[in-house]
Amino acid sequence: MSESTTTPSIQTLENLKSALGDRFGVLAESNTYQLTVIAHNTDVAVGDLFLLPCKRGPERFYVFRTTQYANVMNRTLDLNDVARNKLTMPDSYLSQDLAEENLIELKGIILGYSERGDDGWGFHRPRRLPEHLTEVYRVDADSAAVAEVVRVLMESQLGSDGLYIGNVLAGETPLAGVRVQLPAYALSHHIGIFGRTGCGKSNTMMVFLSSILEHNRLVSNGVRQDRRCSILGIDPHDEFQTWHARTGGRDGIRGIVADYSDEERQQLVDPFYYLTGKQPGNPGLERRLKISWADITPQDLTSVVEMTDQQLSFSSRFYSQPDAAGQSSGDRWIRDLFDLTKDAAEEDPRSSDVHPGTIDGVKRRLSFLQAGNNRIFNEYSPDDGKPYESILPDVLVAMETGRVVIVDTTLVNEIEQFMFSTIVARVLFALRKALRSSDDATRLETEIRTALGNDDATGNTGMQALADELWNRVESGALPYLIDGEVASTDDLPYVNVVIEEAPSVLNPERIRFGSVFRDISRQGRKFGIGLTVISQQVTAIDQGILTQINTELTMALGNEEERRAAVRNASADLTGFERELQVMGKGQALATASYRDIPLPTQAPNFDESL
Amino acid sequence: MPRSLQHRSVFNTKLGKLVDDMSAWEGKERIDEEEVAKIRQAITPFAHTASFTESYQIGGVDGSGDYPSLSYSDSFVSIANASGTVYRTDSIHGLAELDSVADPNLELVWLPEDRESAKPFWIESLSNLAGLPVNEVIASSDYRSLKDMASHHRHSAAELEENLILPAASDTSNVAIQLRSTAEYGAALRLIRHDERCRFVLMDTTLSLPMATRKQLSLFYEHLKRFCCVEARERGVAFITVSKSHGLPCIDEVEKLAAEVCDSGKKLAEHWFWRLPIPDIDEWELSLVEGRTIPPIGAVSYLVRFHRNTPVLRFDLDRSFWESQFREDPAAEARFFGELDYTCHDQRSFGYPYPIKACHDRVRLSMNERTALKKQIVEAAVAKGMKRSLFRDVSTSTGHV
Repeated sequence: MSESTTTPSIQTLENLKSALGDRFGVLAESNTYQLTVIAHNTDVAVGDLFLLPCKRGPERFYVFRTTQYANVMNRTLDLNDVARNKLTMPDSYLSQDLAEENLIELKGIILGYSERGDDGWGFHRPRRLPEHLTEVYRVDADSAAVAEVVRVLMESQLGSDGLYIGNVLAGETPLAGVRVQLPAYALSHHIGIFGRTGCGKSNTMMVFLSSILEHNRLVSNGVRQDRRCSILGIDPHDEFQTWHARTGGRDGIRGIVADYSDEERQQLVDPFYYLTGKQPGNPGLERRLKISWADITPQDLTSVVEMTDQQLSFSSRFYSQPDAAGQSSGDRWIRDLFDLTKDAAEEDPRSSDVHPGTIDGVKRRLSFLQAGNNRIFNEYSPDDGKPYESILPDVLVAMETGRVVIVDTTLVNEIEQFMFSTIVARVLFALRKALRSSDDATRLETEIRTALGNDDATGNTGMQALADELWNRVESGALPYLIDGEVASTDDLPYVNVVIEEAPSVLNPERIRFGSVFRDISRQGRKFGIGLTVISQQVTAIDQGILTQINTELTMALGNEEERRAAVRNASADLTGFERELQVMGKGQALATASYRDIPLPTQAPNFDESL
Repeated sequence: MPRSLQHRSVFNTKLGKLVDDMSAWEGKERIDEEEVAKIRQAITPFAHTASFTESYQIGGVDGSGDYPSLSYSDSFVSIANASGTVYRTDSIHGLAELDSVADPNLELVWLPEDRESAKPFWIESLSNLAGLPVNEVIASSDYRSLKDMASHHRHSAAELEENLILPAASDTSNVAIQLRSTAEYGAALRLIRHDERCRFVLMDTTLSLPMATRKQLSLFYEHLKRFCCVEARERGVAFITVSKSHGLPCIDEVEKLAAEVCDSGKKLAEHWFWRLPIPDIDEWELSLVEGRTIPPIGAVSYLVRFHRNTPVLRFDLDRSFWESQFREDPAAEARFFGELDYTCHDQRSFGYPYPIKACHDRVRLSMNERTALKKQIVEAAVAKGMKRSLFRDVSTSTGHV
């Protein structure tokens, strides 16, 4: 992908106008809510973009976007009369004239205006109106010259040196060269990708992942001055690794990685980019997804499955409090719980006052972990010769070193998938908090262990096995928390993002209310450079608290009116006037809204098979 | 205050006589039983045509202008303007206009009052409006042969050119007729010759040749009119003139006969045509013609009704074209009117071919346009050093608007 170009000299209104071709129409009535344009009888589409050059004040181009249009007649004829006549006069018609009898009336909104200043063309929110009878030029998507004008005028809204998500959409056609990019830091905030099935979410995600890879490559090569990005991408259909290579199409991340030099591969990918529930046929940069029971805490469980207050209370107590021998289970709690007989429970101070049904209930909720029911979770019982075996420490290292990690979940059941995402997000969040808490290097290990509940001083075992593994990696330098003997700042670490696929299953109001880890991450993750990407077919099913924390949205075609209303209500930029757009958007088309942008941008993600 | 005209006794007396005369004329028995039978036999129904099997194109021509727009000292400036439209049959829109004739046939004509001085300007303007040199039109048109026959006198092209009737500049009515007609036929000729080949080219006039029987004298547009017929014939285009005022009396009698023939059960029949008898072909003459040359020399005339809300129309066709296409093929003749009927279904001119109406709307100069053009002419002339004070808007300078 090429870096954005800069305009060598500031172009004048006349220069830019000359590239726009013939006048399309003339501004008729206008107010701050709506503009009306009268134009020749042309095949236009809802969403088409228009430019209105204006010299009332400094040189400006207003960007107008049509939200509805109507056929009107020019002169004395009333369209309703014509229709009535056509119906009642036998076999009558209304000939199609070249002369301007049939006109169209477009209504729409001003997206904003670009004003020529000393530093170039700067985009502004629509606080002003173009003057009376301003001439209107259509943004012809087939014209490279027109696209260049749009790029110049909207440069500040398009973003540069960031993560490419698609091109600005003029009606139904993307404008070549007018690329929309999210800033890299958007990954450390929360992103929402909403769209019904079949609307092109996978392709959009594929484009996005490749953009992140490219960003990391440019940063690593010193071409781009920014932090690297990490993303843990859930791949429920096992698409992103090989994309359409198996059917003769373009290769996915495998193909991108294959084109890297050895050094780039070492810098950007090693030791893996792809985790899968099956045994990789060609282990290289692929790994088997294995998580230990030791990585699971009761909070993870309650984030993923429905639990009662009593079950949560008991689980937490069983995890952290000492048993009759004065020893807490910590990361062995699941084995201990499965081994807890009815009689033993009555003797154990953690369970003696707990109703047996509650204990059984927790066991049932953990039953997905038992052999035969899962593909990724390994029992942890060191006393029985079952040591800690988990990819989690390496995944965390990957996230903290600017990697794209794809997780193939085709063979993994839904609970396992959500559990994995939850664990990674929770531990990353805990580690980043620990880093912030460490004033000096000597305290770092303690802070990390404390963050994971492993505190010898208080007798808390917590996630001891994971803590040991992570500290080993800190000491080896694999986990870059110590730089030249100093504790790394979270500002030195990559922007990290965890993708939550089928988000309503874990981010619904019920689950969030019961102390989900995502509740905290959504509210505080940004501070620590950790963001979530929430992918969902529905907006309404997501907890409102989560929605309010999302500040970048890619809203694609949605299934019904209620979802569209919710999308408009929760967008980070004003989507008034775009309601119809959400109804008619095609595959791969999205409305990109962000709190750091002034206007919503209709975008079209390129077909990854055809994109460069 | 003087009494209004309509309240004066002299007006009432004159009015009484007028209606007596009209009533007597109306009651006069004009067509006898034998002629009625022949008319009835000649009236032919054709199908109301709401669709087409093979797409075709139809052109319409009309003119406008300002004659004169201005006077300057003893000379006059006129604006002659005509244009053409071409439509293609279209299953969605009925007719869809083609981008065929880019610019109107426009001429700004300056004529000094002195005839000799005016002649070169006349010739130049007529050539420009025709799109061909005047002598070439005269030489190529079949008007000369028709005139030779009708006037019993052989003419050379040079003789006819020399004797063209070119009115004095102040004879504004005749100047207007000549310029406007030439502009319209010039536009028709362009359509006939256009790459977008039309099956029909229609214009609002007749194929009458008023000077055909006169020796030596002729009007340029007569030559051009017939030249259009020649060119259309060679290209297989039906060049048709359409007139809303057929000028024949007793049309109500004809309408009754048409209703009987069409047996529609309605008082007024639609979709019928009647080819008026041709003296040397048909064995009878229409008494209603009463000395008029209908059909005109070299032409065939029809009375046609498409729709009840529009009047009976007169269609004139080049006789040679008719001979080759329809004389021996009544079915083709009926099909011809069916196809024309299809072009009459635009609701803005239901019962009348829309391309002519569209062209009329397009070419008509509004009062504002005329005023603007006058101003432009005066300003351009003043910029060249002419005196503004010598310009007169002839229609408004005396208050005769």
